[in-house]
Amino acid sequence: MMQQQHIFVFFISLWLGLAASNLLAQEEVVIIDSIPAKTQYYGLRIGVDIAKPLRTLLDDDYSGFEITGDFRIKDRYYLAAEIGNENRITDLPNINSTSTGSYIKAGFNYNAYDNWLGMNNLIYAGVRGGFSTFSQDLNSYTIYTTTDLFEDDTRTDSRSFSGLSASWLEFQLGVQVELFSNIYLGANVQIKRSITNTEPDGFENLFIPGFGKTTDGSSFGVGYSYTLSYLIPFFKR
Amino acid sequence: MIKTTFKILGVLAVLTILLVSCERDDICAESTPTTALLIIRFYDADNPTEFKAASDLVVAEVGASTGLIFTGDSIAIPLRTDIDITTYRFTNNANADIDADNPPNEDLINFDYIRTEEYVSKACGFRSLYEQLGIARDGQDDGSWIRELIIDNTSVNDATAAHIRIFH
Repeated sequence: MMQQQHIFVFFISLWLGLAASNLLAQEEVVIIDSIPAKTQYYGLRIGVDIAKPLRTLLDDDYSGFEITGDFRIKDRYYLAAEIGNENRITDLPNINSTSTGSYIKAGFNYNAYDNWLGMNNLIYAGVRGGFSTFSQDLNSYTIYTTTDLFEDDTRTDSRSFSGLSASWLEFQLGVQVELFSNIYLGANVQIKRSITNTEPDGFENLFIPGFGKTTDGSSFGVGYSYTLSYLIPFFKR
Repeated sequence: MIKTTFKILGVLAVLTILLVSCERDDICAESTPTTALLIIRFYDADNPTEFKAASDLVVAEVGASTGLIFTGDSIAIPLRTDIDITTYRFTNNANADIDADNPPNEDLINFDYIRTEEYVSKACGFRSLYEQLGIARDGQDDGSWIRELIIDNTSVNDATAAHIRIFH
């Protein structure tokens, strides 16, 4: 069910992305024909993740938003950061738990794409340090037994674990495409490696806002985002 | 740029689907230690070092219509996880049609203990640990087929050795 929704969200976004690249095609011709001069924009790009609000609408067990920003500091280098908030219910056969919290990620992007004259697109690799503070509510759980002699022993006495935190190192691979003047559509995938993780006493962090789902026996997490951004140009070069 | 964008989006698509579909730890593996069973071994009361299998033994909770049927000299039975007491009827020779000389004989054994909960994993949830195991038994009107009962381990948390020896 969850996976289907992931995939659904993804294809909607992919369709948006492809539609956008058609628009771009028309834009390119105009720009190349009319402005042969080389224009490099330096500025602050501010955006929102469009996948998280969409998932909030489609998935009853999830709500979240993320604001993104980057700032070009050198020809190919951008300072980049994301802040966000996520609320996720993890519903497993023997555990039901809710994670709620906020996160910040900061680092830089390296643009590996050689733009044609007048274009300002990015195909980038990025590095982030991530930090999250969150709480976890254990809504219900089952005492697992290997026998069916007794009825299932499922407890619903909710327990709350607050003041939890986690940090991680994140690698991103993504694109930023200029759709219209100063409006960008972006997409990226993220691979994260946990650095610190304060586990609740007698329980475990199942979902960490910003990091995502945790996996037993692995310190890696994954994620993606689709962004719509506006570039506030400070100066051209 | 269009071709490159298509390619990049394609790679991102494949990566996203691969990453999101990694669901490995949703099923509780049998090898994971969860709530332990109480292990009982049956010995010969006349020759206490020798195993002696119980014959057609039915172990059922008091008030329950169904139980567990055993034939060997070693059995494993669950203890309740929701209360600190489990009472079983141990019926030896439960199937009287087979052996008319040894009629069914029912003894009650009452197991009491202190429970604590312990987190196991995402897939398995929590398990119950049992400490300070104690017993009380009642031979009832038909007499007692169990001659003696010894608790070897008052902690029922693993399946490595018998917790109780029954001599009959």
